[in-house]
Amino acid sequence: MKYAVNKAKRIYDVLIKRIVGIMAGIIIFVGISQFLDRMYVSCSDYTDYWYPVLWQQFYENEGKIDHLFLGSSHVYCDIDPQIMDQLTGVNNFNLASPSQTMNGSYYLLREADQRNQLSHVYLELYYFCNQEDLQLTDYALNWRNDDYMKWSLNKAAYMLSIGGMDQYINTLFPYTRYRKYLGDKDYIKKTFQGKKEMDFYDYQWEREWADGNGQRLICRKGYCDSTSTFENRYHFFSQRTGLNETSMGKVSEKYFRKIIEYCRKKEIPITLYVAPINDLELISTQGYDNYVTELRELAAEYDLPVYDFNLTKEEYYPIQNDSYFRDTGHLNRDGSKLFTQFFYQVVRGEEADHTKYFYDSYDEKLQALAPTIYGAYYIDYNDAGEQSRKVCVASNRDQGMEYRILITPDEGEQYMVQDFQENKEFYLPPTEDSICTIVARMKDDPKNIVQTMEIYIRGQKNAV
Amino acid sequence: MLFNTPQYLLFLPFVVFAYYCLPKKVRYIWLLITSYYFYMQWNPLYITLLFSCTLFTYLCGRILEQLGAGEAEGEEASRKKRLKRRWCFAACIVLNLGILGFFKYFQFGISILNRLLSVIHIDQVSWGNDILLPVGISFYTLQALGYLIDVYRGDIYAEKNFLRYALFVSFFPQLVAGPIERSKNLLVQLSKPQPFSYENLRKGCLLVLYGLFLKMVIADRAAIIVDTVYQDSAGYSGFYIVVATLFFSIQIYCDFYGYSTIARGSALIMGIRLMENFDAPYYSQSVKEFWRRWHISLSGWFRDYLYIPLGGNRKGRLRKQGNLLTVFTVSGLWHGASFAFLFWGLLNGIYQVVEDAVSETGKWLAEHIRKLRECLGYSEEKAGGHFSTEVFRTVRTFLLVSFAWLFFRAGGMDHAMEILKMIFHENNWVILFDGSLYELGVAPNQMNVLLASMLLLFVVDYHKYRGKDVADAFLRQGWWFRVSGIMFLLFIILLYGCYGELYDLQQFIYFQF
Repeated sequence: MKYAVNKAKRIYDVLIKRIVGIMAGIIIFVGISQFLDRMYVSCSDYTDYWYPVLWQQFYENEGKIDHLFLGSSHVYCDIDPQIMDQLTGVNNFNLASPSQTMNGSYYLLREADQRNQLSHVYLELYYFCNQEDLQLTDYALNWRNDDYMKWSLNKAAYMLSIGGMDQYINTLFPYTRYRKYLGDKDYIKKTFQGKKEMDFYDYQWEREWADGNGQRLICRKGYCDSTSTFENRYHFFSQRTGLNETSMGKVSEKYFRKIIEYCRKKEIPITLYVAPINDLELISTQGYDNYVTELRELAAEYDLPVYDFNLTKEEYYPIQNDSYFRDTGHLNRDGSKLFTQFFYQVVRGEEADHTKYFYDSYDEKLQALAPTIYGAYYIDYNDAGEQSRKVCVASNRDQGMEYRILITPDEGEQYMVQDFQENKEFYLPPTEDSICTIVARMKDDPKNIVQTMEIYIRGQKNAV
Repeated sequence: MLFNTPQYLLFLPFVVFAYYCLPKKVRYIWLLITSYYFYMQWNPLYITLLFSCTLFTYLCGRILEQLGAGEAEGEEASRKKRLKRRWCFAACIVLNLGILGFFKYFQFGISILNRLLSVIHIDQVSWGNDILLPVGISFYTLQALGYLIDVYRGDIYAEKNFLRYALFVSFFPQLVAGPIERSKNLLVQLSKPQPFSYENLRKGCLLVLYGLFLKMVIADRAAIIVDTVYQDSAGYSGFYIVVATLFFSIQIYCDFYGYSTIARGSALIMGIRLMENFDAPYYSQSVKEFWRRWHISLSGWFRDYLYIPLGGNRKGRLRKQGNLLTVFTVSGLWHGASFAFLFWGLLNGIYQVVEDAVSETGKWLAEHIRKLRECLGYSEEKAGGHFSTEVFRTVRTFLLVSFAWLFFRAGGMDHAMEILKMIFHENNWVILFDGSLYELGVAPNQMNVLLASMLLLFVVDYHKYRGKDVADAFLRQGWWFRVSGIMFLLFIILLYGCYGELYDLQQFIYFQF
């Protein structure tokens, strides 16, 4: 008996020793990993700070969120939850994040729903985020949300959905994403210093940026308040993507359906919408109506309308004014104030009430407006080793307008690209800084100059 | 499913956990299912080949045993039985080698035929379809044939349980690139599952970790340098090629040794001990010794099932050397269907033949020098070699083997010749010292990590060469030492391992065979 007791005690001791040893090993591993995160995880732009603050506020609001906003940076710049709180009388939270892809929206919805009694979900559908490529190549968009989520099965599922198992190590250990900086002393010093100076771990986040544009950013319930204004340089836009007939990727569509089906199952009403974008960007897609049609068809399968705020009539909602934008995609404080109120006005009523606010198509909207130039967009490409830049005038007429295009290089004499021709496309040396002057007139009324626009063009070296 | 992917690192714990949860009687069925699943991750269709090989050899083994059992009535009946047995054995060998030959050598055969036809101006044979080589076919075919030969010789009894035999052929840790196990070792272990052992678990995990370190930190990083030079052989010459070839020696060793170590570790966690496939080969002092320490399971297979049946060293010196050349030529051909592999094998055979001759002459000379010293009144030399002699022999062997690897890496004879020419194209020894080696696709700090990791490998291998079980010795150390070692391996893999977006995922080199 005594032998058996002693043996059991010995086994127990060995077992305890082993468990303690393993636990201590795990703690050391986690400790070193945390240290490496601090050394290597970037803090070079404002979004690096945005995520921890956003998630801190989200968990502070746990159990209190009624209305949830999901989508891209357009949403966190455009919708002010505090104005929505006043209008709706319930608690709104903006859980949007930079270029949030559809799988991200799905797992963020689940996270919010598991911790709150959601009574409404607003899902934004920015065309750029729904491109298949983005979801399958830019994993950082999801990693940075996932990094700050609390541990749960939903988080594990989200992790698995980001690039699949191939990316599992990068998902689990954030510092491994920055391995290109290994041993880069300057980078490590900058990161350490950045985190120290910028109060990376102080979640009361409010700061002003010294970029000369008076931009002020405050995170309030996921709203990014900005006083920046639209600068001339934004009239020269790098085309993000062309929208052909199938503009929504398969993965995006899959998660789009999952979001709607999840809301249906949980009986949470969902509203689909597209936030306002500057016309220059929309024209650069060269087929925005394809996207509009595709979205409508998808939503129709679930008997849902899509509110596309790029199709609004000016008399109801005069957003297409540079003073409301801080760049081509995001509204500033004045713009978001205007938009949040109009958004509420649109979505609170019945569908039949607000058809009057919208055009049927983007093309119809453009034709209804007076002939205008919005700027120019460009594509940089490599032509057999030669860098080249194709520029296109963005106007709301495909035909009937003629353009005189003059280029004044920063270092050099002014020259003319074309003199009042219908052609919109021309080529520029990609490295040169210059001013492009576009003079437009109607073909059938050549004496009357419709508009003259000067655009500051930055070469690749100084590109935004 | 590669060993160096997260998929495998999730697959293995899942398999192990379920393995120990299941009753001992059915564990082999679980391993069989998971092994087939593992294999099907490459190409589900080729599972039929694995199954066919298993079925044919299993049935043939049973038949051979039946025919070998009992006394036949009369001499004539006994002779007929023996003949039947021999025919059955030969048929099964031919069938399996036929399948292997078709998938591995058919296209090579067509290309040789076309070369011959073009010489005599006859239309070439066209074969439009590319035959995809089933992964691991060379390994599992040899393993199954080894079993069959053992049964034929009466060294073992034929396995009666088909599923257990199927597991022997397809056991996932060693299925695609060995070690080529012997039935005496593996089949016995599969029939007697071991209880869970903490010691096996920690040693197994350590081996897996060390294998990943070899593959992901050393082999795949060295591969960047090798590929940079070999894929642009016109752009590099002289010492660039020499250095790249030496790095290839390290790459192929760490790649294959890494795979074998992960395989051994994975199996050990389940209480199954696979044979050691490498034993510090680059410390060998002769090519003969190198082949005793390199890919031991294959060398052993060829020794037992080809070299010895051919007569081995029992039938005179000339025959012995002929046998050596035959075995190494076959070994070269086994590695790949090209003249470069054939030549690589032959070259290794030639090395040994020359070594043998030199050694005989050396012995004769040494004897005469000893006698001369005695006559002159000098004292007798200390027994055993000097350290400097050992180093010289080791370096010589390493260089000879590395030279042969050049043909292996080139993959084709034309490319190999082109590279050989480029070695002598320029005498640019200065690149060894002016930092040019840091411009071969690996950043300076990464290169330093590679060199430091290689140093660690050489230290570990040195102890191994001296006969120590390094893993056991490591696990006997104090807690802090063990934790530091494991943390070092973990973080060097996480930080410097070749995986993720920055690197192309590298297959194990021996998968192509």
